[in-house]
Amino acid sequence: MFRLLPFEFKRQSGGTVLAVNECGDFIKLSASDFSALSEKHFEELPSIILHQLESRHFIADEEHLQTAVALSANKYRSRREYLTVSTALHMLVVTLRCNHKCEYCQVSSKEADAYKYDMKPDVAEKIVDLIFQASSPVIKIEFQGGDALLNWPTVMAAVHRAEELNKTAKKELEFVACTNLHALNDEILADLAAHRIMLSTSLDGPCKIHDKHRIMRTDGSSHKIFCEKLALARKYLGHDKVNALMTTTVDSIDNVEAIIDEYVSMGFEGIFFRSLNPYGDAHKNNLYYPPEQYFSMFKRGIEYIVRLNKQGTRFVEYYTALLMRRILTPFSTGFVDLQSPSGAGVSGVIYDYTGDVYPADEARMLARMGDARFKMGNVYTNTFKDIFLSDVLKEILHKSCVETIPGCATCVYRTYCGVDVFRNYLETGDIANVRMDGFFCRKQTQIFDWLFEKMDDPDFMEVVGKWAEV
Amino acid sequence: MPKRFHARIPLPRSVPQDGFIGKVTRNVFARGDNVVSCASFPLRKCLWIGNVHGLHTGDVVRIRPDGMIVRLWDSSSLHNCIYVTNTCNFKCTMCPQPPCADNPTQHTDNIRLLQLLDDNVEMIGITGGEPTLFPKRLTDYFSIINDKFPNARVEILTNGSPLADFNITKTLALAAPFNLCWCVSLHGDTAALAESIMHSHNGWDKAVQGIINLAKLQQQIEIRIVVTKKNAPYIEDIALFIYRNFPFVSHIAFMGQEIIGEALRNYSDIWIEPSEYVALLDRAVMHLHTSGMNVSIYNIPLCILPESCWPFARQSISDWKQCYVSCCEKCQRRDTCCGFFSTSGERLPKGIQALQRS
Repeated sequence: MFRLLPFEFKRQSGGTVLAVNECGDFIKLSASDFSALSEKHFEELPSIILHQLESRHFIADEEHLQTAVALSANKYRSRREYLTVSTALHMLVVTLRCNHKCEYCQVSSKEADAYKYDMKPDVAEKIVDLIFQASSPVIKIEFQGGDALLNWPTVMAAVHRAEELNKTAKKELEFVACTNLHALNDEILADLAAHRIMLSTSLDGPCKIHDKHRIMRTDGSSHKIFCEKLALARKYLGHDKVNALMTTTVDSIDNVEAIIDEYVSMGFEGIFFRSLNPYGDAHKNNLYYPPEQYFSMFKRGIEYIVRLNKQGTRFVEYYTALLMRRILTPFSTGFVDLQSPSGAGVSGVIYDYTGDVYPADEARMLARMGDARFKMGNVYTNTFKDIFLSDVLKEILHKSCVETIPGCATCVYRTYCGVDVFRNYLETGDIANVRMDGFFCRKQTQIFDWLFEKMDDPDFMEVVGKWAEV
Repeated sequence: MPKRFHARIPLPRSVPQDGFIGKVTRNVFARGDNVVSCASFPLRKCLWIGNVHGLHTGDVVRIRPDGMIVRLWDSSSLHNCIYVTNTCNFKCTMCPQPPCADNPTQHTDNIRLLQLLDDNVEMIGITGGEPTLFPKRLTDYFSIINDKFPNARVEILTNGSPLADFNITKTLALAAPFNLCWCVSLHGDTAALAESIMHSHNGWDKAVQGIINLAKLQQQIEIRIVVTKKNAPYIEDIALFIYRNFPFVSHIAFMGQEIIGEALRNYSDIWIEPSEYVALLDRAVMHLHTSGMNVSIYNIPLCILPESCWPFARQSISDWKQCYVSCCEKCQRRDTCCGFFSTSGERLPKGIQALQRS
């Protein structure tokens, strides 16, 4: 006797039905097979389908239910493994000063001489002391801005302190500096090389697109200096030590091929398509686009990248790679911005120049705008326990499980998706309130719909399927 | 089964019924002749057996009262096994070695065998019957192996079901040699399929629990699937099941059949021409490989496999029962091919042909 195990489903455009269970196993069924399944007329199912449903834990034989549950529990635990380690990603906002005033800046950067927003070296050291109380075997310290290079003494104070503490802690310690590269000089390069600090930078595309919104406070082309400094950084640090992010504005939508070509010609091995966040200056400057427009760019971009790969250029789109890894592998994935429960605070945490601790950059921005309800504490006045067991963090965890969020709970893609609590909060005033008609949900749904459709295309999967292992 | 040698040996009168076990050493007095040294034999320290062709210094043999020499360990081979017992809790349709009653003297013989072996042993197979039915025997072997051959690679063949008891598995895992791999047979991805092959109620559930227990104890695990007529249509599902549920296993082997014992008796129920399933096998192997799993194909000759599978095909058949057929004489890939089971006799797969090097 068979019985159903929990799963969600959705009718696809061709009439087939996609079903996904709690552990990320999926199956596509014909409409008639699905109706036989949903009515529990198991005898009507072809034997191979019945077998696959049982093998993938959509149904279980009563007699062997315990084994199905034990295996499902293991799979579920594996996918949630990121919850078993304490916070690994620690972001320090070392300054709000920036030599750019990008039109989409989500942190509302300040003039390059607004020193009052700089983090003091002793604050950075105090933060590092707190970071090392985390039990995570991996610690990644990311220096953000503004532009992290503009407050280099504080960055190095944190690096020195972390290396000192790591002599006894012996964790896998990584440093990343987020920068537009413009302020790179010999002294900083020497430090980067000596302390193995990686660089994370921004490249929006060819000169015209890049310079359109990435505007320097002094006149001139941001792109031109970027290219020079990128070559310099790679020469001293190694080709693979600089990663770039691409931000999609209304002007990139129609130029995705040119943007990809730019990344390829600059020797990057992949690109990360990032949609704009509705915070800070982006909103003000009306650089926004509806999710359908973003999706059409995304789709064209991926199709273009697949063609490039077929022609022999190895190139990856990292967001799709992440989704593929979630769909095609049984493993846990550590992407802070798309987790359930939310990775905010649990996987990553951000420290403001004052030593205030927030679960995410968005929460820090809200505080700057006068709403400090997501502050987890301060490194001077609170202990590690206070901060990481704060009511704020507990609330985020309680309210950000896709399994319990109305709308998400019955979504076929929820096992592969995650929650953007601060976007929910901004849009609805409640972190648990996901707007099904909001940008995030529509964008995610369109991408998932399309990827599951393309999964039947062997040519597509030969390229994109392999990204799951990137 | 071990190789037998005929030798005319002047045996002492009081040879035990099972004969005695000793190690072949070189006769220092008569060059080229072999001597079996046997400290436990009451009358003499050693026995001259003449220069038996095929025996090497370091081999361990049993000398039976009728003068027959049975080699238990071939020091020149990497395919030696300890047979823990002949009994098993399953009765698999395709078992080449049908189980029979346990004989406890097998254990004492194995201890003696391990004690006699030279220290330079690289590879020890532990098999049966079902070895884990006797955890105490295994821990005894493990302790000798840990003492004498700490670097030897040890492979233990099991159906996994006795390991469903966490305490047994824990005891074994704690005693296990450093370089030990549990090779667990799992012939299906659902209970119904697997039980139709192994004829044991709840045997599949127990094997699955056994694998989970081994993983909890951070043991090295290999999964072996013998492909028969029953599970061949589901090869891809089995591969997906293993990847989704047991991504921690270090190796997965799909195996062709050896037609002897139960397999011979049930030939028509289980035999499927490899050529009928190699396309499915190819997809299953590629899926596992691109997913980052180690995967191998055992016991299927290269000429029957699509070329994309060749990198995964191993020379898997133990040397003492491996053979080639006349067609292989002209084959230019023979030196990397597993060949055939001599034990399968005339029952060869269809499609054998000599391959040219391109």
